Amino acid sequence: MVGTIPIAWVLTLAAGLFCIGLFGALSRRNTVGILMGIELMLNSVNINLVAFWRYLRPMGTAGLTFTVFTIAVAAAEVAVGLAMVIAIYRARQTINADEADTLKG
Amino acid sequence: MLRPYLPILIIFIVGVIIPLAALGLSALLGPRKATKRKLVPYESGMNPIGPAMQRTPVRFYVVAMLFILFDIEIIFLTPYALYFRQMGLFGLGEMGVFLAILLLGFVYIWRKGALRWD
Amino acid sequence: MPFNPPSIDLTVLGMPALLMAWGMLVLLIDLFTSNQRVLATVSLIGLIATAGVGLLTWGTQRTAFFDMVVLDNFGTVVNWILLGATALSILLALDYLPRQNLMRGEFYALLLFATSGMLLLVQANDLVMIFIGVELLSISLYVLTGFAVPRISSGEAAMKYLLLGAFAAGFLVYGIALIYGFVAANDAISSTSLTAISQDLAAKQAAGIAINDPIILTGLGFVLIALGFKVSMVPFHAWTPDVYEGAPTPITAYMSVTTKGAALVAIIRLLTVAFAALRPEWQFIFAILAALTMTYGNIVAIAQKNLKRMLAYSSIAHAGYMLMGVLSASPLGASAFVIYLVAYALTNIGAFAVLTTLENRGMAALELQDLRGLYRRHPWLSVAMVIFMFSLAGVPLTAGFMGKFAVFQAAWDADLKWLVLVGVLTSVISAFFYLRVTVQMFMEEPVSAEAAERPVFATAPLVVGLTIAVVGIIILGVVPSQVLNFVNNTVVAAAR
Repeated sequence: MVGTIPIAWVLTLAAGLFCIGLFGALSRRNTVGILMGIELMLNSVNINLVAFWRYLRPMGTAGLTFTVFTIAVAAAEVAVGLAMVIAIYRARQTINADEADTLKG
Repeated sequence: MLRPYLPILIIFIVGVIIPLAALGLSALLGPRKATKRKLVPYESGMNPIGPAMQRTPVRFYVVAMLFILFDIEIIFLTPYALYFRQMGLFGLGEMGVFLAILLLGFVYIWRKGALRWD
Repeated sequence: MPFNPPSIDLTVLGMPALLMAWGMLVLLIDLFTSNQRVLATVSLIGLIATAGVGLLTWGTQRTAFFDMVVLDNFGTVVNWILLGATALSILLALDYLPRQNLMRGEFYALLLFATSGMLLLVQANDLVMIFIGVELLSISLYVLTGFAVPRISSGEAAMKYLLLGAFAAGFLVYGIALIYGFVAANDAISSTSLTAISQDLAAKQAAGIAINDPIILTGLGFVLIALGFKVSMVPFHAWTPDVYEGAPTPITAYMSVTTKGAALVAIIRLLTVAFAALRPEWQFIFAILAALTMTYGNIVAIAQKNLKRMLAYSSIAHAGYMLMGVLSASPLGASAFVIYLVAYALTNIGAFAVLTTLENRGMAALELQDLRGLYRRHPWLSVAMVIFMFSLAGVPLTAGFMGKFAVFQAAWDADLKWLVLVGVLTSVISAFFYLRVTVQMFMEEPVSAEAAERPVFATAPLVVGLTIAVVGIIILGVVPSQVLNFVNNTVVAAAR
């Protein structure tokens, strides 16, 4: 089946997802929403990696291995993010990123 | 070029049409007699208690978080599951180290009391 | 697919692996004791043992694990600096944590995990390893930044750092994916190691294919954005002042030095090993960014009243000076970077140590005016602070001067004379706000009678840390030739 869909389409899909994630991360006010946007960015990269692996180097493993690491790291990052959301929420009862403005800048 | 994917497109279209048709037809044809009993969230179910948008206790988040971590770490076992025959003793050792580290994390959260519910 | 086991060579991975295992040991000990002194002592022993591993492997130069990790003297020297900076930070934290009521055992384990990530980043020879190193150090640092969390500014700082850091991680992986896509088209190349990338670029050049392809340039740009974020290079510096202000002071001291050092080594390896062929593409852009970083950091620092924010902006500026050594892309530049890093580590951690002694529980922020009359309250502390400020400003006979001299020399040799001029001018500007600190301590009266009575927490571990920093600065400033020769020899030998 490979070859029927040109790689450029897959890469465009990944780039599109990356941009949606980017937009989400930049435009959401809710911290959890921002984390979801970032998740989308990381997952679009996974599509990219798997596509490069399948189309260009089906016998190698670098792309696949890297995908596994991205997934694991993204999960770790989100878990730390959620833990922080809980901690901050307990301290001040809001999870909106732009209400966290005690620090200037 | 994309001929092999044509059936998938057809399934998509059919999949959209059927539920739309079902909902649309019942909205058009079905009789509507709203009584108080019919308007409760679970018709002939239990009566709702309190508002739906209740705050979830933080304990759930902690458990969810720990679940995500341990769940995702299992992804590192997938390559081993595919190649454990070829990898032999070497693979067993590597996975042993990996699982030992994971177990350490588990013991840590356990002893720290993150799994206690009350 | 046939299975060929990787070349397991734990000598190559020795330093990061030992430190990681030690971090887990500290985590285990934490379960059975709540004595912070025990944990700190065990951590310090771990740091020394790890440095000892570097001594054992000294002189070997090889790669292992499919070329993913490299062991060379350059990396070992930088690792030693990072380990030393971590040890100094632990000395800072020892009495600070109980005083601020932050006694939780994970602190030391997380510190060791972050450091092991940095060591991994220093020894990384593969895009995947760079990613893992960056994430290991970042995730640990997110938590450490938020360690003082009932204090709202700490939680906010951690959240900001996490969101922007995760954002940067997105760019990092996207960039790596693009580079992988570019390299994977070459059948002779089987990995994403930095050496493989340089081989691929050389092969393409030999075949007459243009290597300044948009894919590879975008990929490289994204990776450098993410690493530049960790270094707090302008324009990716926005998080720095907030995070440095909100984090517990020992952590600020720790990350202002070590993160920059480790990420800059990754940039050095990336640019000089993998992308040397694209040098005309990146060198000029990097030079402009370095100039911007130095200028912005030093000028904005003048306007700061809060001491931690002032040092945060000054650390942005110092990242600019270190970048000068990096972008010279020569053995001379790399050794200049190492010397600057030593000087900066001693000086900056020392300066933050002085802040640590003044910070009391429940205090909102440490302002410039809180230093007034410190000379009368604690003469030795203020003398030490003067030495740190002089060294940050680059006054001759201090380590800071040697560092600046070395990077200026490297940039001059790399034919970036205008950049040297910018560097000298911004150093002169920076002298203004560093000297203002000394003026406050020696010539001004305390703002109030209450401020004149405030306690100074110069406890034993802090005094040890301060003494090490001061002695190091003076040795490096007055008799630098031994250190210079040592660093030059190791780095030049490693580059060969």
